[in-house]
Amino acid sequence: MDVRSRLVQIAIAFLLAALCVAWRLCELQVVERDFWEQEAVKARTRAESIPFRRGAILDGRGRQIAATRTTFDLEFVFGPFRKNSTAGRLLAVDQLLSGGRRPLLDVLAAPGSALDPFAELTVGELKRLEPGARRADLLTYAAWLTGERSTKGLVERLRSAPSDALFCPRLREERDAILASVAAESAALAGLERAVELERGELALRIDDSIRATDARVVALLKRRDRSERLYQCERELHKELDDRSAALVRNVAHAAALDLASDPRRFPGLVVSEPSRRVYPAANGVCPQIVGRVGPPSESDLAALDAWREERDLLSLEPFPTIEQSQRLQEIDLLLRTEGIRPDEEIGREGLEALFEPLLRGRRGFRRVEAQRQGGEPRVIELVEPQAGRDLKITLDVALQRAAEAALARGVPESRDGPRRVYAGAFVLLELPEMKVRVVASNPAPSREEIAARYDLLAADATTRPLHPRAWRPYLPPPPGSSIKPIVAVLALSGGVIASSTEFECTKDRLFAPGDSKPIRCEGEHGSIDLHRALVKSCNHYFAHVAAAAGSARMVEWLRLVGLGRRTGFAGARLADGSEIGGLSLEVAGNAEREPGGRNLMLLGMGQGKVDATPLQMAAAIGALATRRYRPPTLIERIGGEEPSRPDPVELPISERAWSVVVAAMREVTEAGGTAGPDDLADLTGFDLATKTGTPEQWGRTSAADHSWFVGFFPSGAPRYAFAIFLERTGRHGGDAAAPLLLDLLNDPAFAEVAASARRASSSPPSAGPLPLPPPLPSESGR
Amino acid sequence: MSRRRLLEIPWPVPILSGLLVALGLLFVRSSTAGTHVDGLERRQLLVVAASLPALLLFGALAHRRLARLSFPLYFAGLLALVVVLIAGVEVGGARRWFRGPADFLIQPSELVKPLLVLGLARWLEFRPAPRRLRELVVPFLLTLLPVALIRLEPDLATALLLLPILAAMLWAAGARALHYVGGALLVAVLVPAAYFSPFLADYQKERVRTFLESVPELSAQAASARRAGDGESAARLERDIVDHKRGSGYQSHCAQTSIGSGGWSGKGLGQGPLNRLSYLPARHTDFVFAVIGEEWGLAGSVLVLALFLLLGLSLLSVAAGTRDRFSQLVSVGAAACFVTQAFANVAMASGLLPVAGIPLPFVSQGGSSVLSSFVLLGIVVAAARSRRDGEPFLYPMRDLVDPFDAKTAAVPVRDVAL
Repeated sequence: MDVRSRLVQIAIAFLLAALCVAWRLCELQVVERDFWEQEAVKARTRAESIPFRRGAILDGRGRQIAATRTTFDLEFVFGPFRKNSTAGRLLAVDQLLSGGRRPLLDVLAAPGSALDPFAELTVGELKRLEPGARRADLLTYAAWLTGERSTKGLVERLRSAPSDALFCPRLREERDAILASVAAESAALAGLERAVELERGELALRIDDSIRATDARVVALLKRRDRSERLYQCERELHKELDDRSAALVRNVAHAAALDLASDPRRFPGLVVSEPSRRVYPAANGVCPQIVGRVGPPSESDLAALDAWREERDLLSLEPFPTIEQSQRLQEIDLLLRTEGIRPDEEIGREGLEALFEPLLRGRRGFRRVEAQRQGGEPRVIELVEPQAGRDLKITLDVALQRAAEAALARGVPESRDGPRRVYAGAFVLLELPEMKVRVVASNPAPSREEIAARYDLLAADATTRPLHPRAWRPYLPPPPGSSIKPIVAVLALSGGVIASSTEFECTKDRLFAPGDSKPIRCEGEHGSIDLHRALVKSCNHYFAHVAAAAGSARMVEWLRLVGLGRRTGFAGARLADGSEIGGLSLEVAGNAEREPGGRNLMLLGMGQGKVDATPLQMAAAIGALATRRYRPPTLIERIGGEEPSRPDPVELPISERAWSVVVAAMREVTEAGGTAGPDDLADLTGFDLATKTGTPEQWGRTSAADHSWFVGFFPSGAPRYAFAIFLERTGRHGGDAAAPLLLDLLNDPAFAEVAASARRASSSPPSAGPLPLPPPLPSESGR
Repeated sequence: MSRRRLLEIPWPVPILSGLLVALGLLFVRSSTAGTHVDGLERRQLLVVAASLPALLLFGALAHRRLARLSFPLYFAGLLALVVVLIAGVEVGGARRWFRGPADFLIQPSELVKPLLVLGLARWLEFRPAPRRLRELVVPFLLTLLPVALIRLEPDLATALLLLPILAAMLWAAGARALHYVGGALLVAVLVPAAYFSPFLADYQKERVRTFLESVPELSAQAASARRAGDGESAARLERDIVDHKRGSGYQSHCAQTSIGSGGWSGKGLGQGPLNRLSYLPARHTDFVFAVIGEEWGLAGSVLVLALFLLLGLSLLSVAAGTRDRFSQLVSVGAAACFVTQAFANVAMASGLLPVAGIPLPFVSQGGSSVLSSFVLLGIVVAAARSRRDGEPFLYPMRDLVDPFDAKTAAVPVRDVAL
C-alpha cells in the first residue's frame, strides 16, 4: 500500500469521525431539540409566585370580621449570615476545622475561642487539610475576615511560605477588630431581641435551630444521593442550594421593629424582614369565632390532594420527546400548580365559613416567569399572570346586634323585680323575614377567638358549662321546644281541620292519661274546658295533648318537619348564581319524634315535650315560617363577591288565613295582662307589637334537672319582619319569667334601636281590642 | 519575502486556521461580554499576536534544519514536563503550568504536542515501514514518555490526545493494519481494567459514569417506570437525573442544553440566552463550541466541523505533496493533532465523550493552546517547503538511515541551500 493510499485512508477516518460528530449534533439540535429547549428554558428562567389576597368576611353592614393584612415576620437566611456576618464566618470556620456546629451563643459570647485556632493555623497544617475544596473555603473565610478582596495573596503564601509559618498572619493582627465586629453584632442582636420582645439569647437559639435544620436536610439529601465520593463537594453544593432559603424566626413582629431592622440590614446580615399577608380577625368585630372559623396551615391531606396533578406533571416532564398535546397539558398543569396548588406555607380555611367557602375566599396566586440576566442585571419578566383576589363573603350577621345580644346574655336576667341578675347559659337568635336572614345568633357562654386559641383544652374539658357548644345552633344537649311549639301545632291543626277555633278540650291539671298509660300528663293550671285562643294564651298542655292525639303521629311528625324540626338544618344560600354549590354548614339537631309514634309520646309531642329537640335557631326559623306561612332554611350568606347567592325556594305551608289570624291573635296576647309573659311578670312588653309564645320544657330523660326557658315570636305581629327565639338553659323558671326579660333588655338596647322601632306599637290600645290580624299574602295569593 | 517563498506556503492551511482564530475571537467576545472577564478577546488577540512570531520562526526554518532540531526540541519538551511537575504552578490540585510574563500561564503539555510530532517524524523518517512489533517500541516510548509525565500532572485528556498522533503517524509510516487490530483489542481490554484501577482518579471515574448516562434516556426510562406503576424505580431514576444535572454531569448537561437549544440556525451571535446568563462554565475556553452551537445552531456547528475537516484534509494534502518523509509525517501528525483534538472537544461538548479539559484549537481562549497550534502551523509551513514537483520521493521507505545521524542521510541540495 503506497503512502497516498494511506493518507486517503486517514482522510476517510477523519471524514467518518466528522460524520459521527455531525450525526450527534443533528441528534441534539434537530431530533432532541424540543427536549433541550425545555431544559434551556428551565435553566434560564425562574418562576416566582405572586400571592393573592384572601377574600374578606364582612357582616351585613360591611364591617370586616375577617381580613387579610400585611404582617411582618423576622426571618433568617443562613447563606448571607455565614458569608457576610463576622459571627457567621467564625461559625463556618469553626465547623470547617472541627467538623461540628458550635452554638451561635458561644461564638457571640467568646468569639476568640472560634477565631484563635484559625488564626494560629500554620501553612503546613492547612496543607494537610483534605479535601482541597475545604482548604479553599478556609482561605476564602480568612480573606473575608481580614477584609482582603481575594485569596490570591493567601494562595501565594501557601505555596511559598515555610510550613511552620502562619497561613494568614493578618488574622492575628486583625484579632481585635474581628472581636469588636462580633461584639457589635451581638449588641445588634440583643437590641433586636428587645424590639421583638424575646428573652436575651432566644433569637440566637432560634438561629441555631434554623442552622441545625439546614444541616439535617443536607445530611438527609446526602444519604439519598448515595454517592460516597466527593462527599465534601456534594455537601458544599447542597449548602449552596439550601442556605439561601429563609426560615421564620419570629412571626408578626411589631412594625417599629421591622422598620428598624429594614433601615440597616447590615447590622446583622442574614436577618431579614418578610412581609407575608396573614389573616386577621379585627377584635372590634370579633363575633362567632366558631361560625367564622379560622385559617391554618394545610394538612397533609390538603397537600396530598394535589398529588395527582404533581404526578401527572412529573410524568409529562420526564417525556424526552413530548407531543404537542403533552406539552400543552404540561403547561396547563404547571399553571394550575403555580396558581391553584396549595402550598405548605399558605393559610387555608380550617373551620367554619373560612373552610366552607375556601374555594371562593382563596383566590388564585399569580406568577411571573423571569429570565435571569448576566452579572446581576435586572431580571426580565417574560411571562406574567396577575393574581386574582379571593371573593369577599358578606354574611347576614350584624356585628353590632350580635355583640349587644352576647353582652345581654352575659349580663343575665333579673331573678325578681329590681332583684339581682343571674346569668344562664342560653341563646338569642334573630332572623329577618321573609328571607330568614340570620341577623343574630348569640350564645352564652361565647368564648372569644383568643380564649379558644389560648385555652382550647380547658374549654373542651369543661363538662359543666360546655363552652364550646354554642347554645344557639349546636347545644351539647338539644332542648325540647316545650310550649313554644304550640302555635305551630295550633295553626297547622286548625288549617288541617283537625280542630276548629271553637273546639274545646278539658284541662284536668294532672289527671290526663294516655291510653293504657298510668303516668299522668300534667298541665300547670287547671283550665277546665278551654278553647284554642285561651289554650294558647294560657299555654294549656292538655289542650295540645288532645290536639296531637286527634291529629295522629304521622300528621304531627309531618307538621314538625314542615317547619324544619326533626331534620338537620343548614345555613342556606351557599349556592352561587352560576349553580355551583357550597355544602351547607350543618346546624345539627334533629327532632326524633317519629321514633315512638302514638300513645303518651304523641300527646307530649303536642306540647313540645318528650322526644322532640330543637335548637334556638330551628325554633326561630319555625316561628318565622309560621309568621310568613312559608318555610325556608335560615340563611347566613348575604352576598358572595358581590353576587346574590341563589336561595332555595320557600316551601308554602298549609296554613289558612283564618287559622293564621286566630293563632296570631292569641300570640299577641301572650305579652298582655293575663298572658304567660304578661306585664305582671318581670318584663313589660306591652309597648311592642309582638306575637310570642313562652315555653318551659323539662330536659328529656333528665326530669330532675331544672326546666329550660323559651320565649319565641315575631314582630310586628301584623307585618312580620323579625322572628326571634330566646333560650335559657336550666333556669328552673317559667319562660315568660326568665326569657322574656331578655327580649325587653335587647329591645331597649341602643344597638337594637332600629329593630325595636319596627316592633314598637303604633297605638297604645292593646292588640286584643282590635280586629284579627291579617296574614302576609302568599305569592299565590298576592295576585288575587 | 520572495514570490517563490510565498508560493511555497500551503495557503489553505493558514487561511482555514485564520478563519478559526477569527471565529474564536468572535465567540470569546460573545461569551465574555458583560461578565467579570469582559474584554478577554483583546487578551486572546494579544496571545495570537504573541504567537505569530513562533509561527514565523518555525515557518522560516528549512525543513531539514527543523528535522535536525526535532530531537533537541522533543527532549526540551520532555524536560519542561519534568520541571513543571517539580516547579509548576498548582491550580485546583493540578500542576500543569509555568507562570509567564504578565501572569500568563504556560502549559508545557500543550507545547509538547508539536514537539512530539517532530520527534516521531524524526524517528520514523529514516526507518522502514514498521512491520514488526519491535519496530514500534521506540515510537511508543517516544509517545508514552510525555503521556506518562502529563498523566502525572494530572491531565489525562491531554495525555490521551497524544495517542491519535502516534496512530496516524505510524499508519502514514506504513504500520500494519494488524497492529491496529491488536491495539484496538488491547484498548478494549485495558479501558475497563483502567476504570477499576487506581489509574483513574475518582472524579475521572465519576465523569465516565456520568458520560454513560443520557438524560433523555433516563427521562424516558423514568417515564415508562412511572407508567408501569414502579414508583420506586422511577424515583431512583429521577434522583439520578437530578444528580446528573447537578453533580458530575453538570458541565456536560449544560453544554448539551446550550447546543441542543440552538436548533437549526441558533439564537444569533451574542443572543444565546444561556450564554448571556453565564449558565455554561468554561464557555470561553473548553466549552466555546457549546456557545457556537447555541448562537449559530446546527449551521454554525457544522461550519466549525467542516473547517476542521478541511484543515485536516489540507494538511493531508500537504503531506501528499511533500517530497521528503519527515515533512510528510509532520503534516500527518499536525492533521491528526488538530482534527482529533477538535473532534474530541466537540464530542465532549455534545455528550459523545466524557468531559475533559480539551480546548478547541484556534478557537478556545487560552495562551498555550494558541501558541502550540501556531508552532505546529509553523512546522507544517516549513515542511510544506519540500513539496515535490513531480519528482520521485527522495526517501523511499526501504532506505535505512541512522535516525540519530541525520547528517549522513541524503539531503536535497535545494533544502541545504536554504
